[in-house]
Amino acid sequence: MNEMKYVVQLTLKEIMNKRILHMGVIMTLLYLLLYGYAAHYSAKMAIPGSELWFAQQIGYQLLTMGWYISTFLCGALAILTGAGSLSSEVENGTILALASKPISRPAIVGGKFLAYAFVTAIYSAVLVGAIALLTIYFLKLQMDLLNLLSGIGLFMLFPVLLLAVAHLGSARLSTLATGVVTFMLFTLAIIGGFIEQIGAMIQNTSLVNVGVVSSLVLPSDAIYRLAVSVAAGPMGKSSIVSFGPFGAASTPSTVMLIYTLVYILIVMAFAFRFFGKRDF
Amino acid sequence: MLIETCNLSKQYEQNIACHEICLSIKEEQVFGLLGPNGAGKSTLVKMLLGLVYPTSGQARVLGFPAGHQKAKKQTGYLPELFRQYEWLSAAELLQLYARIYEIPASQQKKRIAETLQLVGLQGREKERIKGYSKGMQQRLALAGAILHEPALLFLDEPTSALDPIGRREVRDIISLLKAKGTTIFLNSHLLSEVEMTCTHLGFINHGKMIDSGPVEDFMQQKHEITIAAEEVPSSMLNRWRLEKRFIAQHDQTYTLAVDNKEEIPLLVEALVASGSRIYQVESRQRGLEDVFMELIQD
Repeated sequence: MNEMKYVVQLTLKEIMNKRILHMGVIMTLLYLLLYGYAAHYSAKMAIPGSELWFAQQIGYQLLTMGWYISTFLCGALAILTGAGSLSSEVENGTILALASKPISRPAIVGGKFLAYAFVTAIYSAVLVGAIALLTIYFLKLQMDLLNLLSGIGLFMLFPVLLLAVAHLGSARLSTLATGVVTFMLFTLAIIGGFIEQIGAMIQNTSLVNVGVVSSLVLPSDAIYRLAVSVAAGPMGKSSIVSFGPFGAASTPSTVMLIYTLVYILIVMAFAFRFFGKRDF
Repeated sequence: MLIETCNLSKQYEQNIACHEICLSIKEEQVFGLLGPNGAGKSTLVKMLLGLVYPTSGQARVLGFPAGHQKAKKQTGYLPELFRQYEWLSAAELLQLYARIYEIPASQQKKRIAETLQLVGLQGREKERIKGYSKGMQQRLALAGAILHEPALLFLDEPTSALDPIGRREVRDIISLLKAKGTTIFLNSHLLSEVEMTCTHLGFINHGKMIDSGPVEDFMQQKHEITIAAEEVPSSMLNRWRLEKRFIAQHDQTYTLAVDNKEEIPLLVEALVASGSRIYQVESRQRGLEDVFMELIQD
C-alpha cells in the first residue's frame, strides 16, 4: 500500500508541475468568464417580462451547452495527461529509476491512475459545478441540490473513463499512438451520441441503436447524457430541454452506469496486465 | 551466490540480445562486464533487475528470483540512461527514495547529506534537477543507487557523462563501496576503468558470454611477444594458428600470444630449431584491451 502511496504523491507533484495543467486552468477561467458573460446577457433577454418557465428553459439549455463543452475540456485534459502517464516514463527512461526500486508494477499503474483520476475528477466537478452556479446566479435557475450533486458526481466519471482508456494505451503503446487512438475513440463516441439524439428526436430506432453501439465501444457520451439528465431532474424530461444536441432526448439507463463502471475495471485490468509484461 | 543465472536468454523478434548466459557472482566481488556496443550488457543487467523479462532461462539475485521485491530492496541501480524526475530537486528525489527504501526517518536527513557529499552534489541539492548538467544528473543517479547502502550495486556505464575528475571520483566511490563489502556489477566501455576497479571479469559478444573469471586469470599470465624473423617455415605458422597464438603479422614481424613468461624461451628455441633467423624478440604483458580484442575477435 505504501508503494502506491509514493507513486500517487510523486504523480500529483508531477501533475502540479505540468505546463498543460497551468494552461488548462487559464483556459478554463477564460471559458467560465465567457460562459458567465453569455449567461448574464441571456438573463437580460429571458427574464424581464417573460414567463419564469421560459427563463428556466433557457437556463437549462445554457447549462447543458456549458456541460457539453466541458466534456471537451475534461476529455482533452484526461487524454493529454493520461496518454503519457506510463509510456512517457518508458520513453524518457525515468521508469528505470522507479521500477528498479522496490515498487511493484501494479503499484506504478494503480498509483498513477489514482493520482490522475483524482485531479481530472476534481477538475471536472469544479468546472461543471461552476457552470451550474453561474447559471443559477444569472438565470435564477431552480435546481434540486441533490439532483445537481448527483449529476456532478456522474460527470466526474467522464474523465475517469477516458483516463482509464488512455492509461490502457499508455501501458502498451507509445504516448503519441495512445493519444491518437483515445482521441479517435472519444470522437467516435461524440458522433455516436449525436446520431443517437437525432434518432430519438425523429424516432428512428436504427439511429438510436447506432448510438447505443458507439456507447458500448466507449460510454463517454452516454455518461455525459446521464449526468445532464440526472442533474436536470424532472425539468430534463421536458421536450424543450431534452431537445437539441446537448440534451438527453435518449436518456441512458442506469444499466449504462453499471456498464461504465465495469468497463473501467476491465480496461484497468488490461492496463495492469500489459504494463506487467512490458520490457523497459 | 549473489547472482546466479542459468541459460538466461532474451530474444527481440529476430534479434538475440542474450543467449544462454550462465553466470555466478559471489559476495564482495566487483564484476566487470565487457563487450562492444549491442553485445547485450544492458539487457543482461535489466533482466537481473526484473526490468526486462527473459525469453528463457533463470536468474536469481540475492537468493530471490530476478525482479523480486525483496531483492530490489537490497539492490542499487545506476542505469545507462540516467534520466530523473526533472521537476524535483535532488533533495526531494533522495527523500522519496529514502522513504521507498524504508530508511528510518531519524536517519534519512543524515544519510542524504552524506550521499550528496560523496557524489559531490552538496550545496546543490535544493536546485531543480532540470537545471543540472548531464554529469550532475549522473552523479545524482549514482546517489540514488547507493543511498540505502545496497548489498548489490549495478552500475551501467557509470561515468559516461563525467569528465576525468568525475571518473576518478566514481572510481574512488567504487573502491570505498568495495571496501565496505558491497558486491558491484559494472558495465563499462572504459577498459582502464574496469581494469582498475574489478576483481572479476566477463566478456560478452553477440549476446553470448565468451569467458569469465578473476581478473588475474586474464591479466597476469597473458603475455605478448613480437618476433622479427626470416625464413619461418609454414608448418610453424600453421602451428601458431592452431594453438591460437597468432595475433598479427606485418611482413616478417609476427605478434604472438603466450600464456606465461616461461613459454617465451621455448618458443624461440623451436623457432631456431626450425631454421629461422631471428633478428628481434620483444615481450610485454598484455593489457585488458589486448585480451578484450582477442576474445571479441574470436
